[in-house]
Amino acid sequence: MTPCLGPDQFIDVLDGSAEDTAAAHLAECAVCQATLAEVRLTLAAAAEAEVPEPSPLFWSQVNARVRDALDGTTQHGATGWWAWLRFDVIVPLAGMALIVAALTSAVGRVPTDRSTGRSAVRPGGEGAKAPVVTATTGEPASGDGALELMLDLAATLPGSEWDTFGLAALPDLGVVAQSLSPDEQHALVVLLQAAVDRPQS
Amino acid sequence: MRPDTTTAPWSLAASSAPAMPTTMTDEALVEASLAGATDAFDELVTRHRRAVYHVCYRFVNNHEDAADLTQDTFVRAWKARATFRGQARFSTWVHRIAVNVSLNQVSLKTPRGEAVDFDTMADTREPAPGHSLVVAERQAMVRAAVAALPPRQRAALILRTYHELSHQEVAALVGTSVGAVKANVFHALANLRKRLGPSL
Repeated sequence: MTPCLGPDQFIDVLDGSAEDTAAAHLAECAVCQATLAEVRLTLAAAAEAEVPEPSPLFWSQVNARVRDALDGTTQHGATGWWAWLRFDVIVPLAGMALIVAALTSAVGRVPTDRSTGRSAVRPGGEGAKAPVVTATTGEPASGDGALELMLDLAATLPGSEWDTFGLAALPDLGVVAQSLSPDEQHALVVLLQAAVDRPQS
Repeated sequence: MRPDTTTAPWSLAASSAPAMPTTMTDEALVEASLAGATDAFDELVTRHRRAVYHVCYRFVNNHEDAADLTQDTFVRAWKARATFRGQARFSTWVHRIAVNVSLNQVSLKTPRGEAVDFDTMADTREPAPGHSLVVAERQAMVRAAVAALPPRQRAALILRTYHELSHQEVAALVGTSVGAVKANVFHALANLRKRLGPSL
């Protein structure tokens, strides 16, 4: 008797395309006959398993979902790094960059106390530029005098608050502020106001 | 594949442009969509969404994933519509996209599937009163067992059994040989037999 059928030969038998030798073996081999019967039964069971019908409402949702996806693809087709060039991303990033640029450039221009590595003149200290105190309104400080006001208020903060906002590492802000552009000064005011407004620990 | 003739209640066509004639061939609709007519593609989605959903469902065995894959299939078809040359029917072309999308999904994660406990679902009731329920449960068991097969066996069995593709077509789709497809179908059936056991 020829060897028992292999997997592909069983499938050929099911498809009706088996070679004569396979058919001849099958006629004589009870093991292969049993295997074929099981495979045939399983295939029949598998074939009758229908996909459950979804809600009729689903079909129109398919169109809507595809349309939404395609609209998104069209409107936001950019998928690379340039996809980040959006107004809602650029504006906050630009603001942060401005603050960082202002503070870091200021650090490089102000003399430091060699013994401490810190500013030779701290805000509110002896060398601080006398601030012009104006009225505080509760609104974000801006305009002429706002920087001086915030420097003056910030000078009253305890050292821990300066550390919290990273201001302790900066040199004399009063001197630095004079060399900043109006935009940089405004950014510094915002930062100082955040320090002042923060609840004291 | 059976075309879906249910009309989509929404469409750009409904609000801003005349609807695509349903007498247009798929190929003509593809041409129209290439010219920018999104409502033409909408009509293609309407015609083929059911068949695509069925392909996807066979692979993942749950509605949520099948719905996602159906959407993904048509989005890819839209993006690739310029590559549709008309050598094959659109239904075959989008069918292949659905299979590839489903195969990618299958290779990425185990499907959620319908919750079926094989040990406790062996049915011992009289068939007469709840015959349809019995049939539904058995079909659910079979679908779950199919979805639990190894990916290549699952793909071969689904494509050969439910979509009546030839072994050559299945081999081309899954990137293997005809012999391997036949072997996968056989082992898929053997595994199904083991899993389903006496419930068959």
